Amino acid sequence: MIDLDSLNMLKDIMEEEFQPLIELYIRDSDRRFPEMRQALQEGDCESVRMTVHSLKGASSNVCAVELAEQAYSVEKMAIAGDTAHLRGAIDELEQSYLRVRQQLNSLL
Amino acid sequence: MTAYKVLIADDNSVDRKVLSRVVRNQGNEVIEATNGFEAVDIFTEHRPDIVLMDVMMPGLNGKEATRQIKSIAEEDFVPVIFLTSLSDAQSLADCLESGGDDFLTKPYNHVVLQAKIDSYHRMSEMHRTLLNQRDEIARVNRHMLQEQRVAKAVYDNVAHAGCLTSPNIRYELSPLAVFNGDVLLAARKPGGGMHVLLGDFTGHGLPAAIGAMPMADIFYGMTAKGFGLREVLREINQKLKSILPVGFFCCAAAVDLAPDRQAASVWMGGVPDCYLLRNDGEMIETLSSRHLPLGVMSADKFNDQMTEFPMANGDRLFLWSDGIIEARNSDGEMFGQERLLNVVRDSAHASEVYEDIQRAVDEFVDGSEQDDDTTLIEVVMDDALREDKESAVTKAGISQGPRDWNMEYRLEASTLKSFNPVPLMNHIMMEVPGLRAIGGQLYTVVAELFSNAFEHGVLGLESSMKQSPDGFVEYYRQREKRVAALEEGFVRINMHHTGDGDSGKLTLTLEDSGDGFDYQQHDISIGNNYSGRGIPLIESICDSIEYHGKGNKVSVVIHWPLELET
Repeated sequence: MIDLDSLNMLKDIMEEEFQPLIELYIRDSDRRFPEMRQALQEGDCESVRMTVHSLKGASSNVCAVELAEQAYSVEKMAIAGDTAHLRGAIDELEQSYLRVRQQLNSLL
Repeated sequence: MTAYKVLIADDNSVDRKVLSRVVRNQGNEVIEATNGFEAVDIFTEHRPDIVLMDVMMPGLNGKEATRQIKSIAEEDFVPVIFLTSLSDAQSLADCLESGGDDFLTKPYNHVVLQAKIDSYHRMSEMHRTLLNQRDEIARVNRHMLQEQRVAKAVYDNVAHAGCLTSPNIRYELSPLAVFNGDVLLAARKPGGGMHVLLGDFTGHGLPAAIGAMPMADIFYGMTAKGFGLREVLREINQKLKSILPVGFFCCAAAVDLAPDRQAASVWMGGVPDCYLLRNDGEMIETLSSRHLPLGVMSADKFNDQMTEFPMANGDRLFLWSDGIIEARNSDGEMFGQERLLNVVRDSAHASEVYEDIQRAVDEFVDGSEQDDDTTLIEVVMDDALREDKESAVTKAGISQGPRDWNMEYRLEASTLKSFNPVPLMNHIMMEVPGLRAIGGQLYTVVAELFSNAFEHGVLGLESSMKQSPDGFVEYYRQREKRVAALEEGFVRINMHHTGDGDSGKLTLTLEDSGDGFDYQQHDISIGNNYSGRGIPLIESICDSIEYHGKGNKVSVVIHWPLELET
């Protein structure tokens, strides 16, 4: 799920800031799922899109490539306003995220 | 490596932290903003060198923040590079459209990132240099215009006395023409009539304008004092020759308009052909330059010969600088002498030529910038100009000055060795207004008489020596030797003038300590070339020449006003 080679390169770049960065990623991402669900409930697809877009960028930065791709497909759904499928897609995205989070935690 | 101040604006904290670290690792200083509003505030406060801007941010998005930053930066160049995960051409193009300078797609390539930061920094510095130089040029230009205004004010004071507004004159001259080198001067003569001078100095700007000041000063000063135009030109030529650098001179056309004898004397040096149009005829008379421009020849080689044209009332003279002929249309083609001649030829009447020329040149250049370089003057012969003779000012002017006087000046050997009295003699004679018009000729007469008295009389040199080139050299060798050895001798100069203010008689008598010569054995009557140089001129203005005693004393008599030369 995580490109470990790339993650090691990131570790080299960030040095002492690596751990805080991962912690920041987890803190940010944890918060994004309730945000997305809330927005979806209010029918605010643009807000969903912004949030999932951020998740996509952040995930790609911590080398969670597959998660980033999955987030991108949700982003496209949000752009299209496909509310019918969004709820389920967000749930699936969260499952993937939780696995990435577990792996990241184990690496720290 | 120089540390650049980089502003990173991204709402996504993970993205921002990673990019920030990369940019810092490359030696730059980073300021972070978490949204568009913050980006604008931080920019205003810290003025970073370059901005890395996320496109999608809540609140104020990247594009709008960029617009605000660019407007705050005004003319400073602050590169904004958009950060985007979008990769389709239209989205990227939109980024640039909204005022960004470049984009960087996620994920970032670190090498490209640093290269872009460096490259934009170079561009910023170039832009700064450009702005500084632009400001410097603007400052210098303002300064130059200011200087030109001051110079123009001084010039206008010097040249203010002109009579270009006389009813017999029409002219075109741009207000700052003096900085194109064009000068137009006109002054009424104390005895009626006027002097007109059109000058075209080489070059542009201050170098072209600088010579116009003494020119106008001499022209107005000497004309007012009653000097003839030949003397005026001679003086201007000498002044310009001495003050202008080599290669700088003044093409000129000068006219002595004399309504009392219904004629104009014209001197032209280096100007294009000008035309004389009769009031009652179709014929165009062409006046051509016969001399080198003013300021080229040394005083002794300057030719002040004028050409005389009879001019009846209403006859017109047209003078111009090469500005008209060289006026260009939008194709860069020149107006040319031929086109000008055709306009003059095709005019219905002489009185319409002036407007026809103006119109033809205007139509030809048709808005293509430099029609302000054309200088044109029409001078019409007008009997009314004669009236000036009766005006109170002129009457007073001409009557003033010494009428009856006598002066004797005796120079002893030690003075003669190194002192030339001719300029002083001339100066005294020039106090008589009626003699000013022939100042140049008088100068030559006095110089010739003095040199005869000193060289042949006091030094005892034979004039016959000068007849061959070898003898000429020997003559001056001997002269130098005898001057060095001179211990005794004198020259006595007597000037006697009588007159009534309108005419007068000047008698010059020179006596020397020499042995004289048997003048009764020589044919010394006027017309005989008895001693070489200078005599034709003496003949032309002296009414009589007479020797006395043993031949060491000579008197010449000059009546003024002179009979007209043609």
